[in-house]
Amino acid sequence: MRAPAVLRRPRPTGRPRATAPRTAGRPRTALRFVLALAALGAVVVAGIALGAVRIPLDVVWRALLGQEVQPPYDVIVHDIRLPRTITATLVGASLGLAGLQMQTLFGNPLADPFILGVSSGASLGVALVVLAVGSSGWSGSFASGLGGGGDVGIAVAAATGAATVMGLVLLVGRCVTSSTTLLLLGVMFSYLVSALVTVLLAGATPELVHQYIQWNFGSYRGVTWSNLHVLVPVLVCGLLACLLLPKRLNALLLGERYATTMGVDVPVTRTMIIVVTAVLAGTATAFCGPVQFLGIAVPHLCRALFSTSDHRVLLPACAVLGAALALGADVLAQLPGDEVLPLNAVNAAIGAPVVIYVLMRRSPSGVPA
Amino acid sequence: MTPPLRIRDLTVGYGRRRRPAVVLEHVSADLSAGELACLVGPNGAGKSTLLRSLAGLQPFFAGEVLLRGVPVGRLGRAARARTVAAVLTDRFDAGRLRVCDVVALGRHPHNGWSGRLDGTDRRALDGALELVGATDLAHEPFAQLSDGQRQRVLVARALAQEPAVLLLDEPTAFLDPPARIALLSLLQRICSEQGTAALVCTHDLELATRYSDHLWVTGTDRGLVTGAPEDLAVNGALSAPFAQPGVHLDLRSLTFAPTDRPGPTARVQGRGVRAALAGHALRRAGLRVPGEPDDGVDRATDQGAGVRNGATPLVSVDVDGHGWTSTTATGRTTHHGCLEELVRHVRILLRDPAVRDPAVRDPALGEAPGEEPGPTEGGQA
Repeated sequence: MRAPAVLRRPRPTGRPRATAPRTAGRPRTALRFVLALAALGAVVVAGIALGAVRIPLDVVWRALLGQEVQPPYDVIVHDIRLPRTITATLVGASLGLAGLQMQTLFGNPLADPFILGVSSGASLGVALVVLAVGSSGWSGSFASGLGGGGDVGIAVAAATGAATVMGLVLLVGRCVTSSTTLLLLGVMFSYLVSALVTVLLAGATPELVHQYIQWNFGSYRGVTWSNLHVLVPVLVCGLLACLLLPKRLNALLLGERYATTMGVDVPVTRTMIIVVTAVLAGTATAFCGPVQFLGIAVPHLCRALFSTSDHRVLLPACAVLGAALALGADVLAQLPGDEVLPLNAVNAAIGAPVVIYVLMRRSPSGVPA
Repeated sequence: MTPPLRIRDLTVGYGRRRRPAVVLEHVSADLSAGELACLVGPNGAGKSTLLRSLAGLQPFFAGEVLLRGVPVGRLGRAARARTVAAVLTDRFDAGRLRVCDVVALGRHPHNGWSGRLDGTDRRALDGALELVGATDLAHEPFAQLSDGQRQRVLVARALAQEPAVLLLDEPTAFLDPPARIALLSLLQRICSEQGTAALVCTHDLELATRYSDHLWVTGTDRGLVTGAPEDLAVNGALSAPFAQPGVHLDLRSLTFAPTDRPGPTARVQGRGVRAALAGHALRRAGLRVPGEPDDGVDRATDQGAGVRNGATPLVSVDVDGHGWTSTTATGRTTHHGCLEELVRHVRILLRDPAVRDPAVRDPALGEAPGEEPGPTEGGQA
């Protein structure tokens, strides 16, 4: 940290120009966006090329341009790699944005998209379906869908569970003025719902418990084109809704009371943020299971890499980097070949060291990331 | 001219409407343009509650708040934020916000949905930074500022809102004395130059009396008394809420001081800084030094009070070229090169039992007027 005396020293150039270098900082931000987009592009190519079957780059290129792909590859590209790529990028962008909004709303660097109980609610829905199906003897027909997480029944159950818990949190939130209290309420709701899930699982057969655990690992595979007809519009709408929020989110950086004195309607803003987050995280969870780590790590990564707290930069940055990281992790998860590593394990194993490195490198002077 | 802030019959408190805890009732006051007012009062007297209600952070129970003549309920959030800006005690994690980012947030009620700054916004931003003398800090990370710089930047952020009324909640709380004085004189300058009206809630009564045009004093029967600091001092309204046994408000310096208890006195002969510091040291050692400003006795009638009361000073101190010379009642003189020696010397003298018991030393002293413990009011005497 530099000494205050140094800070106070007047500029030699005389004329005060407080905000002029802001524009000078813009090309750097633009350059970083270009790099982030390039990274995303590279990961998309890798996402289509790599997997159990390697696909030549020229085929990948033609597939990306929407041209015909020759027979040995067309099924793989069309039915597996493209849906997986679309799902991973959209879910990654959604979770990154949702995490950023939660961290800003609660002024808490540990907040993630699931902090208010979205994923617990979804788990409850899934656990209920698993149990109901298991006891009625349909498990055989269900198992295929469960592993991939793309089954419509599972998705509906997860979405219903998530929506129910978020509705409860919002309802209770109307009577709570402090966001910290709301945060604690959400965490408590999560615990309660998890307790219910545990009770349900305790009575299930090992096979069903395994299916539930598979769902809990998270996966972008198994999302079909018909699933995408739901997933894509909902997530795109959610992502676009975030465009309404950067000004309000920026004001919230100074805390809710300062935001109020600046003319922000804090209760309305809070509801907007929670609804948008719930739609993004809830939909993602419904189709892909609780994809951990992205929501908490991507915002930190973006703040550090773009060295800003301005949400007009952070929102698009989190979307791009979230998409790239999500897809990158999934590509790595299936590098071993036929065996596919659990997605959440890969997310944490790659992401956590990266974030730790970025945080340590970028804040030597006590500036929090 | 309509005052920027007018309060009529306002009742504020906290808690829900079902079980309101009223802390201030039927409060009326005006804050005119260019005026710096300080809101003072003991802890728990409702200073902060009043300020928060005026800032729109909590509802008030009854009465009216008029901003530029318009009832606050009829103003939208943005319109209100363009009239009133606040500097709060809230600590926030500034993250990677730079100083200019924080100040730019003050443009929130003025700019469009995206928060993008246009030319007017930038001029307001630069103007606000320049007013508080933080132009060269503009690109520093806010989190690295000292507390004094931080407060100046937060004032700039409030100024960027271009408010008619500036509300500040304990802005000097974490500042060292020079920074407190710098901040208050900055506010005074802003008020007189910009025509902004400022209401500063503070514990620092001495600073408040020195800088404010009006004091708003809470703590008397859930009411609010307003007036010029000196007038309130004379009519007793200033000292009443702070009344505490053993402490009084010295009317000449408008500072609080412990009320002298009966006890041995000392006399300082000579003038100037060294004499004043000798008095300071003697008082610290536990002696009364008549004739000094904060002894709680009216100086005009106090010349040589110790002598008139028949109380011989325990020591009499002369300032000389090399230090200080003390002479005890028995005539023993000692030279002290520094005041620490003087204090040590006095403390040894005070250990004498005859000195410690005033009745033994001077029977007349107990009957002297104005010596009983408790708040004494120089102005009323």
